[in-house]
Amino acid sequence: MATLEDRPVVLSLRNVRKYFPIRSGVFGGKVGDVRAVDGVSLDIHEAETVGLVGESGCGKTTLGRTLLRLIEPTSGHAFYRPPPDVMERLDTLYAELGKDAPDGKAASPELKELDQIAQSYSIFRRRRGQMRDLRGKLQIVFQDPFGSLSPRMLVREIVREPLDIHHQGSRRERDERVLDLLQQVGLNPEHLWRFPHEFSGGQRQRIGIARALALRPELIVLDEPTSALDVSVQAQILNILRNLQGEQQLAYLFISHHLSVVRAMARVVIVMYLGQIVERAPVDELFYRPLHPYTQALLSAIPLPDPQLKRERIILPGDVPSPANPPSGCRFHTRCPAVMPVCSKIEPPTVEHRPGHFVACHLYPPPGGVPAAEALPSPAPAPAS
Amino acid sequence: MVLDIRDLHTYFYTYDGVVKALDGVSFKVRRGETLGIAGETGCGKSVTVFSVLKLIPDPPGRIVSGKILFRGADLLWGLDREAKIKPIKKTGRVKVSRKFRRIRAANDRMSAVRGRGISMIFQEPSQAMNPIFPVYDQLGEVLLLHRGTQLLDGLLKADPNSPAVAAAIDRLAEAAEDPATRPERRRELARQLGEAIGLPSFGTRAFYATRPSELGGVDPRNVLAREARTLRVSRFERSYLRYRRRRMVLEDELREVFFTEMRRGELARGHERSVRNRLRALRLTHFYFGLPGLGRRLEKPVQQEILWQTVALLEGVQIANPVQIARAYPFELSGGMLQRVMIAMALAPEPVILLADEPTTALDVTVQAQILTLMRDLRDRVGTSIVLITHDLAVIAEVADRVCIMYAGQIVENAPVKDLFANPLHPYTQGLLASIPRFDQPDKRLDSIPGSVPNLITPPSGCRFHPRCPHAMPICKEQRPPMTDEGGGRSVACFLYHGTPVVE
Repeated sequence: MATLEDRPVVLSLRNVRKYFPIRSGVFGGKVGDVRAVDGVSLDIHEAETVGLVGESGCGKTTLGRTLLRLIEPTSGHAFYRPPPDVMERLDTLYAELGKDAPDGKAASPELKELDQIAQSYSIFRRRRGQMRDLRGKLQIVFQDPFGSLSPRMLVREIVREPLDIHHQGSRRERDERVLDLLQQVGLNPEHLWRFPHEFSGGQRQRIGIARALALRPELIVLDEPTSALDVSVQAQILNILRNLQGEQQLAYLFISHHLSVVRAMARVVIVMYLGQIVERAPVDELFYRPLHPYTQALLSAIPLPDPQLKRERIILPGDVPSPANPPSGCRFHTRCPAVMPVCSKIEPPTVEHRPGHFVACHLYPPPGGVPAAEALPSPAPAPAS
Repeated sequence: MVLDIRDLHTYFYTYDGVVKALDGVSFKVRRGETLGIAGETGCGKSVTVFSVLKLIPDPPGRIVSGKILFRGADLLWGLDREAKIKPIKKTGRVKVSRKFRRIRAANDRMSAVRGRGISMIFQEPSQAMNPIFPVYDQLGEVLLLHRGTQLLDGLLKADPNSPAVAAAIDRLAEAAEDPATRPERRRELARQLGEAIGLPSFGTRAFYATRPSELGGVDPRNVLAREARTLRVSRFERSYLRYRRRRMVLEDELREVFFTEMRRGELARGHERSVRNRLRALRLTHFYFGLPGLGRRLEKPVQQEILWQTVALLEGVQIANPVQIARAYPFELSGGMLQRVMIAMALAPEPVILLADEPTTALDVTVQAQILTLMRDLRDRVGTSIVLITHDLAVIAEVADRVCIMYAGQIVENAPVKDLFANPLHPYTQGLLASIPRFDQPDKRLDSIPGSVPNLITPPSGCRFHPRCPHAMPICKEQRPPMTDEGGGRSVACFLYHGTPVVE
């Protein structure tokens, strides 16, 4: 089996931020930011599924939409099929500049080079027309199958529209392609001439998938594709998605709050909390040896369909804090069961604790130690689970 | 046995035809038991619990037949006289002529059961609360309705002037001044103060009034004395509270009459009329309490009391800063917080049965874990029976003792939770269990049930599951399988099994 790194990268994100301004007063002056996504970096490889999990309000959906530029990012870069040497250079530049590299404002040579690279590769710097060429490669399936299909269009028109916009093939070819797409997602030719309201939730989600597949994409962002569906239908949709991935070498960014579903679909899982990535690991590693206390709590909270199994629960106190005013230091420290004095002061760096397993928590200090952390009591040993 | 539902039919009469949402549903709930009802969207789970509380919108819906026995009273008594349902010739449609006076009377009777008997947690907490009233107003309404006499008794009896109170205030103030005092100690002293006054909610109030952040250098003695002064009730206020109390007693008596009517199965018109007349006479002799501007001022002690009782209730559902939440409006709260408020509201009257309609579906897993733990604790503490509705079988596995699996308006399997998950009998249950992804079994194949839920206007003949069933036989198309007893408290409706039919 090929390891993840063997496959070329489809999409790379570096330091992506999305702040929504909070406006108030008579003149609508900005009084603050909702930091929905705050410095996220990740790579998605060809034909692989990256699972993105977290509670509601942690910025999962915003991230998915930002990387397709359905929402304009505040800062950061996204690269579509970047050349490996460029990516390498970029990462060294980022390492030299530190985590808070501003995007092309100051005048240091590193920043200039970074800006140049971004100018030529980042999809966040593309103009509208250039962006449209990419839309076919990067697609999305939305969460709500009831809100994401126009009620005035026939299924045929919905699935055909991307082909029309991108002028693909002759009319007859497009019609054939639409039929082919419907077949791929398990719908029949008779469904062509119906309106979305005539379908059940599961069937609508299939239409959404067919539409996303129309332009032969390389990456599909699946934004909670099954959370509005029943389990039996959810299984149908998941199976379709798996088969399509095998046939067409699709890469998925699978956004879900349902960890068991992510477990069934993803190869790499990313856990987000309040706009930041707290842990990233291959799926087995994450589920058997979760490192971050948040991940551990999240996993212990999943109800299992087996009354014989009684597990120890980690109950997190309180609610997710507001992303408009995130806690200082580690953002999880207000609810963390293993909180230490250092947590409220210093933001934990992301550390590769085991090969491929990244975590941002003071329980797992980097080899060099956290700066200014020496004076504080030493962290507890990593809990083995 | 606190709830016994027999052969319940609920139909919706729409322009497209008659939707047979419930078609012969029977189950029982024992005392202190948690019953889970699971099934796909549109299988009639919610309609079942809405029928139990008679919350089905009528028109278009109607409970057509069946029995709902709650502690010996048939909640559906008099159903057949509420409406006449006649088929229209040659059209295949039906005409429903409702007798609205009788329907209203039946609804009035339900007030004897709603709240203290059966209460409910609704699916969408943000939809279930009134956006224009703060949380304590809405929770307080429940308190006034179901524990009103106790609440007013407390207010009438409270005596802030006795020497015991002064001593208790002194002790609490001393503790509050000392920064080393732990909150638990302060809470205990505040509770003693509440007891000395004779109003437990004053303990909560004193506890929050003496928080260090609240005091900010002010002498706690003054604060407590000021708070205690507000408990003094003037003579006029006192007579108002007595009037409110008398009204509540009469309203309770009226509910008692209704409950006897439902238990005996006959109207007690004379008794009802005498209570209603007494109520009317009371209102007439005290008409001045209804004068505009007067009522609201007199209401003040009551409002204050419900605020602090609400705070105590919110503490019970583990809300971190209950005073702030009690004064907040629903839109200011997150989904998890609102759901906890809803649970507090449903539990405030200490019901015999709690119906929970998808209480955690809108919530995140971590909050869901909090809420489920909370519900389990409450069942153990109060002994409430819970009917839990969810499409998530994992939630049922966590909290339920017994499970009913519903499909297209019928119960197809009823079993203790352990047996059901270890050995599902009905093919539909098997399909459901096979389609759940499990994080502890990543390599499990996800088998889906082919097809989708049938249309309930023209449901499939015979067994309603036969078009999707992998084991379908010729007989399944023709006959409806009876519910058969399979031993060990299990029953199933499927021709694959040959137990003795369950007699209702």
